[in-house]
Amino acid sequence: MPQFATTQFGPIEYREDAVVEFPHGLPAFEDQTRFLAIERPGYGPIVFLQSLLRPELCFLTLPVPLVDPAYQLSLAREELAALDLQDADTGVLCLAILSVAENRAVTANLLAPVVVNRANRRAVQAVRPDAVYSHQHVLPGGRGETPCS
Amino acid sequence: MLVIRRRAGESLLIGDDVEIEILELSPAQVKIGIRAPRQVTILRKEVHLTRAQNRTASQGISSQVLTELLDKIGR
Repeated sequence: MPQFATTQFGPIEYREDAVVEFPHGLPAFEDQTRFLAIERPGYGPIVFLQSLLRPELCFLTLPVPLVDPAYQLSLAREELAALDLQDADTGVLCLAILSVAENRAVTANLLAPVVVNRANRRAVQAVRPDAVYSHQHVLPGGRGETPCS
Repeated sequence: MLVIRRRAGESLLIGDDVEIEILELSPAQVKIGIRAPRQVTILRKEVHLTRAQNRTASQGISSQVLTELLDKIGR
């Protein structure tokens, strides 16, 4: 199995058929086309998006439905073509990239979710042209706000 | 914000060397043409925001913030 030395996790082994391919890279990282979606024990539901070209490049992501259960995915024709998909309804993994905003709140980019076709592992960061969702969506909830059940 | 009304075929200038022309209007969209020097970067706003956000996200999140995040999402 191929190996890759990452900054975050040290050396990791991976299967070639687990590689997520971004044909066009990501905005600001257009040359980064190969990633692994890594889930680590104790860190669920976080998904680490580790570049296989730059050892130090590792995005933290959360599944979009966890961030906003009502999220409506919208893909442009060229994004569907890049994913080799007919429609966005089936078989996609949808991840929101996390970052720490200036006020130290952790935010999720819902303006531009990462969409992975589970069948062929092709992916795009689908930047929405509308203003429905924020690029700095503050994560809801927190222990104090969790309703009793 | 400066607001200007223009019809299809009309233009406006930003500075001396950026021209924006209204090419086509439809109920839901406007098609515009931009003439600008090569060194002027032109990006859709949402792409610009995502580029900036990706750069911030690539700086990583400290293990302390990661722990707080896991608490917050109720791991």
